[in-house]
Amino acid sequence: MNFPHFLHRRRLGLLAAGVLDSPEKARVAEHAAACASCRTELTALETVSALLQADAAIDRSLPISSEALQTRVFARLRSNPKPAPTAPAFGFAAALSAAALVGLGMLAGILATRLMTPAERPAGHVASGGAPGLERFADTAINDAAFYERLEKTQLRANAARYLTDAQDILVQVRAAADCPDSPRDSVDVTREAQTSRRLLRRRAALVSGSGETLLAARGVMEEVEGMLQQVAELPQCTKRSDVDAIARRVESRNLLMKIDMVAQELAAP
Amino acid sequence: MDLSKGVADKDLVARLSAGDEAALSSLMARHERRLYGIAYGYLRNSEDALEVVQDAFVKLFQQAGRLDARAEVGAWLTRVAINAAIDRYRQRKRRGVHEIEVEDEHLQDVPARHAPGALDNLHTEESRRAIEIGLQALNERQRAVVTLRHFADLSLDEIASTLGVRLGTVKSSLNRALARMKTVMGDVRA
Repeated sequence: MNFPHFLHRRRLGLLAAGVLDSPEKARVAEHAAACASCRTELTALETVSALLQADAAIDRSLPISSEALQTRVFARLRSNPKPAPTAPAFGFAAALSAAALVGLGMLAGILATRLMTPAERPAGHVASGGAPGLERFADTAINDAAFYERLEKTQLRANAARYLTDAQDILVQVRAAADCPDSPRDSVDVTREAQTSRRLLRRRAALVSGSGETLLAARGVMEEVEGMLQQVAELPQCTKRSDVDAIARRVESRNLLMKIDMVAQELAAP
Repeated sequence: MDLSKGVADKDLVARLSAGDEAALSSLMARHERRLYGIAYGYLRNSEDALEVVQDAFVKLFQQAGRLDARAEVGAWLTRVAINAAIDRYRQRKRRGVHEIEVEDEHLQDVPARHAPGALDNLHTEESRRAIEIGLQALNERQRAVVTLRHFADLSLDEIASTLGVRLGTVKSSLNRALARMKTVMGDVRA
């Protein structure tokens, strides 16, 4: 085993992946042809590479239509509008200066308060022995808590809206399921829809737990949707078309798709 | 009907930065499939991959005004998608999902992009499982390099630029990734 052997052996993966340029490719291939262990290694690596290529060549379509994807993206954009352009460097410097001025002002205020006699201190200020300025920090903390609570609620509502839209996609897609191969006539393959429904039900459980009153207005529709998803989730891989049609009729008779639209819009509204 | 046929990506981005939503629709139609392939290649889960694609286009809309006019939007989207996929994978691991839930695909129902040949026959359910396990044995960077090479068909230079690493790092990552996959997959298939 010499140095060129180790050098070339470290290139076998790249040779198998087809990314070496011509001169190097020729050198490594020549070495592999003359080295039994490298030849074995190269064959195994080429198999891995071929399997990856075969996997990548599978035409995996998006699980939803282009239109549905666009609807979702625009819904996200509506609930999360375009952020303001970033401030230029000058703006950042100005902000820093402003922050420094505010800091200096606060420091001066604290020093001035400390230098005052107790009688001179403004009403409501913490008496000696207390921690000066703690109230202000407490106020800020309370404001922060309220802000994060609002943010959490908004996020929860947006997630619920997305869950409902995804559920709506499934309730529409299940009606258009393809024929089941190698099975009796009039049956359709609902594997993907059943799997997605099960995932959606798990998402729903996560959404509802700890949501408090935030999703109260949507609860009725969410329960109806849950019932329908459970029916889809329980369908066998090859299902009678009549069973799928029955679910579609139930969805239709309850105007569920329209209700989902309305509630999802309501939830996603700022 | 896509009325933007023949319009360059850069022009669409310029329109997008002015708030033209139709330009986003056109860009999505052009790039969604490729981005989904990359995200699926990395995450091996259609729901997560779809989320990544959505995130990428939301980000494109939000940042269109800040994109370098000389930059290729396709390359930019690839970078955003692979980084989002890495983040999502990391989040799942942090939440205790050590292995991404692998979906059952019904490969016989999935048409191949090319005519059936020996390679297609190779791709059995067993080999697909082996690939999933092989990919799970890789670290984040190796997984990203393999994804960008095999699922996005990028050159090593393009991978280096997308991931912001040196060419040498990409080479060693790809070499080690294939060697690691070979070992793990060999164990599975043995």
